[in-house]
Amino acid sequence: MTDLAAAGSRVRAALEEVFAAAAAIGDAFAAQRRGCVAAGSALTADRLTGLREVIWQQLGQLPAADGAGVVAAPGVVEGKHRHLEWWQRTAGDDSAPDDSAPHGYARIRLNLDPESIDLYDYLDMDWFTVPQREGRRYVYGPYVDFSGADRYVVTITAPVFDDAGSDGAGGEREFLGVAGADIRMSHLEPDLLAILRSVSAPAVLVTAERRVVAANTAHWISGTRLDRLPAPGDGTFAAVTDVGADSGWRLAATSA
Amino acid sequence: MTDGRHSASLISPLAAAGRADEVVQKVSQAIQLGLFLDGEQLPPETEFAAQLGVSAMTLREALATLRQQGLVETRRGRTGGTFVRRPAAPPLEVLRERLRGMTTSTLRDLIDEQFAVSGAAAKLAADRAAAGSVRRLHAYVHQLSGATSLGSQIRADSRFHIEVAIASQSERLTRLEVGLQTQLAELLWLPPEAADDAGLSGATGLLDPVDASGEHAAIAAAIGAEDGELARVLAERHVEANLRRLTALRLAMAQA
Repeated sequence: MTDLAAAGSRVRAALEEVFAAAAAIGDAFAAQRRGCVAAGSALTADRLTGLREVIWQQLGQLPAADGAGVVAAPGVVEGKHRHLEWWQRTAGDDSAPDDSAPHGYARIRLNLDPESIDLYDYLDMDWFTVPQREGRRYVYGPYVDFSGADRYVVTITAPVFDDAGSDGAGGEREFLGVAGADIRMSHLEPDLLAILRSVSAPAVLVTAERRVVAANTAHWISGTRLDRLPAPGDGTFAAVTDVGADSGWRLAATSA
Repeated sequence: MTDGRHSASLISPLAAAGRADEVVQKVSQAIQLGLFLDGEQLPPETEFAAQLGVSAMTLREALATLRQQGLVETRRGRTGGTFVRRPAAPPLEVLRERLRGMTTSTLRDLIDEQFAVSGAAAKLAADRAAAGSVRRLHAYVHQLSGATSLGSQIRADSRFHIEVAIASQSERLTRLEVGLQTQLAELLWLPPEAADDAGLSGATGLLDPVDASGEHAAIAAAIGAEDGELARVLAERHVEANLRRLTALRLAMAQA
């Protein structure tokens, strides 16, 4: 089914656009760190604020992204077991920008106190642990994110490595953390639906966790879970294509 | 026939709360959710207003209300600012006063809402939960059974219920559950008023974190097993027990 493959690559392109923003932010993070190492100084939370210009710029170029930034691995930022520099678009238009942040962006604040029962422990969250463990990009969700703000989002993350220590011949790369972005489903869904509607047969986009991201018929409902992962000729689906872009997403269509 | 005036009263007011009240609700929920630390300083007014997307005037109005509720305090001077107040131990006298101010029918109505929200959330969570959510549910079960202070019991209890709602993939159910937890969680864990009441039957004695976490564990297991009907029934029973307990606590109080 050629229109299914074409639709799959359009979904991939949409994800790659967000990954490109994450990569730009991650490169800046790695460069900042290399600069500190070269100067013999520590990467402090203060110095990490130098990433803000890049984060704001990427958010400015990518209207679908609701938030973006970096989340550091333990100890990468001096004296911080957990630290993040993550910025979110603000809803209001009557806001007065302060002297440092441009209009329309705000840094999110989370409880990162390890002693607290309310700790926002990203070291245990899939969008952090998968890039850390497997050294690859990751697409998490859609999910209700109640820690940043009340929203239904997809989070994409990419690992950030410091290659300076390696000699290019298989030297150990240091994991610095992840760079990523949140996309609100309210922004993503219209784009995905436009793509799914280009498929002539009933089609569903589903995550590796069997969660329906979007579908072109009411037979599958966004956010619900299928009984099993679609496979071609499984009795329901005639064709299945992997979306790629490290998403684990599959696009599946029935024969009719 | 119902006359028009009465029917019209069923239509809920449009954003009657206003923007300041909305900010009050958001911030008190964030404090309840543990996103702020006790004693943590809120961002400078202009920055915080920008983050929330409201005018500085609206924010000041909201902060005045939060001060009245004892959730923030403002200190003057060079080290001044607005700080979150979230004492580790809940203010028992304030909570008892709140419970005293409620009738048993008000309590019953509030818990009717929780019956609907928690039952549906548990059912949908079993149908839809991400693996990470199920892991977090078990972590909150563990946290509750080992919680030794009233404050940590209350938080582990409410975080469990909020996580069930998050796992349901519904932003609206999550918002409702957060609101319910804000109103109910602390009351549920209220110790009996007089020390000699401690010997009273289960309904008005101290709530046992081991019993409560046992019920949570069963709900989490049903969600993990993708058994929606069982999860719903267990969650509903859990809420019904809350109704008995709160009604008994209220009745055991000396008449105001």
